[in-house]
Amino acid sequence: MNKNKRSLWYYLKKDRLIYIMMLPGLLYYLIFHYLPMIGIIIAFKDYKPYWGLKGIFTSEWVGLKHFNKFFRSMYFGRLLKNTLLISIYGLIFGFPLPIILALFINELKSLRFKKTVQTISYLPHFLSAVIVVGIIRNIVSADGGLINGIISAFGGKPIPFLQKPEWFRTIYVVSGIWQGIGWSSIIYLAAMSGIDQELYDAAKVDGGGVFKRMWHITLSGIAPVVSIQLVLNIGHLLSVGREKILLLYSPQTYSTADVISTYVYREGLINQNYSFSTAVGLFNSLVGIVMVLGSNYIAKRMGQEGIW
Amino acid sequence: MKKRMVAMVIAASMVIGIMSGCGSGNSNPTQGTSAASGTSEKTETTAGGDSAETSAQVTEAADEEIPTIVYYNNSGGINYNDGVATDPDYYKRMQDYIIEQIGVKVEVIIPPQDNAAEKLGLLLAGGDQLDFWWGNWRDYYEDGIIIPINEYLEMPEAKSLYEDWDENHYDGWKRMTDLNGNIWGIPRLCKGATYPVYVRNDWLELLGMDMPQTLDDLNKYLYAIKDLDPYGNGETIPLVLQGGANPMDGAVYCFGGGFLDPVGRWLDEADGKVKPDYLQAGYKDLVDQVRQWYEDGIIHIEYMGNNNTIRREQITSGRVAATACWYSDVTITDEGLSANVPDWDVTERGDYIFGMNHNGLIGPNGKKMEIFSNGNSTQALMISSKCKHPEAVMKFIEWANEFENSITIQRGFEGEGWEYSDKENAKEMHIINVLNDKDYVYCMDFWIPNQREASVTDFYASGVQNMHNKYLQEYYSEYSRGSDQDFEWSVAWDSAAMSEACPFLGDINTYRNEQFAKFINGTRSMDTWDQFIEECYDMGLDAYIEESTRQYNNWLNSR
Repeated sequence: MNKNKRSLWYYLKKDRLIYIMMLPGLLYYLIFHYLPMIGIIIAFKDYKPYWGLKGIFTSEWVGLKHFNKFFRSMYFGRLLKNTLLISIYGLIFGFPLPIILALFINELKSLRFKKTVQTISYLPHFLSAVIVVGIIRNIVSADGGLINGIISAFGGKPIPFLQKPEWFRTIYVVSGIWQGIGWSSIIYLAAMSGIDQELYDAAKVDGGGVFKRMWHITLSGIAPVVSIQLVLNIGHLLSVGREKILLLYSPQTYSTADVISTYVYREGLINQNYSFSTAVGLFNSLVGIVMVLGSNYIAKRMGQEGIW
Repeated sequence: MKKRMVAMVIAASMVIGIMSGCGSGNSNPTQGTSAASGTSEKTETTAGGDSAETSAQVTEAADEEIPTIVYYNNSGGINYNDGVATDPDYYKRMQDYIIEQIGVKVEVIIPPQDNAAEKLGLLLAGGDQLDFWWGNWRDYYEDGIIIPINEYLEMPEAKSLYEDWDENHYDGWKRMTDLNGNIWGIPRLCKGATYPVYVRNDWLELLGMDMPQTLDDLNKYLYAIKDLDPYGNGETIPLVLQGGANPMDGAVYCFGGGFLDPVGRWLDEADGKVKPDYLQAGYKDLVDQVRQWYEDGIIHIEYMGNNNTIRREQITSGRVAATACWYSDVTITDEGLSANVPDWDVTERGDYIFGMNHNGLIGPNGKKMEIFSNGNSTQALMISSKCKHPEAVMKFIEWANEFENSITIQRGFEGEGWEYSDKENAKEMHIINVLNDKDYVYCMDFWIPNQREASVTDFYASGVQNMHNKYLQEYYSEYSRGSDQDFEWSVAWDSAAMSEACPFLGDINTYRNEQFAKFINGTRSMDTWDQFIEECYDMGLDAYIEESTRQYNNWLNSR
């Protein structure tokens, strides 16, 4: 009998141990990630949370009412623009920096110093948004803030940065980079550890300096990971978190700070309007998947790794 | 073979593990989050004087014969205990004590501090036993989630509970009643004088001024302070004004009565429509006053982004000359401020550093400026329509509403958590001393009404009464100090109907808040106020006015 024509059952039986070990993972994804997707239908219904599971199916269909409300909001354009701009700025300035940090950390010879740098750079990741915002306030406040202290020391007039719409994105993006740069560099450091050491030795013999080795060996070696990370990050362009913005913004800065997630918080979550929140979430996901597919296609066309 | 066996065992245990994890339904709704978790092996004497043996017997009997009710204690009171629930053994004693007293077993679910609403939604959706909880009755009554309690309130046992909230006291039942006369819950909040304008006594003295009686007096003081800069380096803040999403909220609550007539939504006699407060001429004047303060540096340049943490830091530092914000920003920072202002001896002076005009500040329209809060609150204690023993819930609430019981379930047993200061002479207000170092022993609380908290007297280490405590006892209900809202409070507004009729109300409010900010910080001229109103109409303000008018008329017809 031809091996290739053996039945599925044969393979299931033959590799049963592997399949059994796979089962918990499969069940996890099925139960916690795929089954809850049924809940998406509440985006097309008027659902209240205390109606429970039954209410998901028995609540009244309202068609595109919640999508309509979102798209017809006079702030829809502004929300989209603010969300995209904050994300794109974050991507442009925040994406390369962990790679650069990882490249430099990778070149450190002293293991103790390397670990110290890594630990210090990871720490901000573990701070809650409340703490981070407290630190930001202490730095940029017009009332005794560090930056304004310097401005005043040089005879300048304090600038209320947090009340100025034109400063909001800068503050948000810079603080985000500070908080995430170390943590995001881990994946690149892990990828770098997989690069064949002999390549570096050969480059040294050929007279390649530190920067040439970083460029031609290290960066080339992690290019597939960078490519995948970029594609995945592009998929999250509309997913700007609300917590830090809620703590930072005020009516004076809505024009640049109000994003989709803060709008959903005000309109949906405070009033427990889960249908509206789900509708906006579904819209975000659809845009996200289009972005992922698009960037994945472009990455592959450019000869880089895609996510599949 | 051995390897295969090991692999099989690991795989099987992983499968079993995940399956049991998925299916580990919690038959005890209080487990994990409740003060009730864990059982008591306590051998101490219970409050009722019984031994542990008796206690165990009571529990056993209770499990067999008496109704069990589950209380979701989302009153927020646990925040005063840093989110820490009672020791399980103590809780058990309390539970047994309640069984002895009224024959009802009470299970309490302590919600997560920051996600109480989400947890409540999940519990209601999940079908777990949940008999009563706090919330806005208007969110639940139309969907049959809660039951009306009219019949239970007619029982003789409910007399004191009913009277606590009747129209001679806090007028609470009207706010719990729908247009058909159904009462959907027990009121939670009573009207409060909570937005006083506080002024520094020591700096009044420094300027040789008396406590301001009018807005003009207050302005004279604020501008004099601005010029004098008693804190130094230009860091004195003449007036801390409450900020927030609507930058006018603090100003409206502290000064609105002096500019608006009536306060809140109002009936425009010209067209018979009910309109929002900012369509009154006085509102523009109030915005202009705040703008002037902002321009002149009377209020902090970052005031719109402030919150109670920031305000309290500013007040405690000693830089603040006057406040226009929620009362406790001042009252609970008093001890810290005193440390920074050692020259002011409270004992010697007989007054705290911050003082207020107890007659109420008078505004430009000749009326008192402070507006009371909570007068229209529809926050209630509600009973689930799935509750099997609503009479037991009412029995417990009536029992817990009694002073001594209320204090006991909140602070622990008499002699352990508290004691009477002078029980013999106690009349209307029972003064007690707190015996432990915690704010709450915390088994549960009822928070009805706020005056319950005021029945406890706290002192600083210096022997002076705690300023916050004094406020609750003497000034919280100082109703001669400010202004009521008119029918804004009387009509039980239906927010769900409003949301249907005016789906973009959120957008209008966001726009309104942004424009207020621009008027105040000077990026939009006050000359364009009428244009701003027109813009609000263009966004759909008409729909809000029509629906407000409809609900107002329905309320009028139902009276």
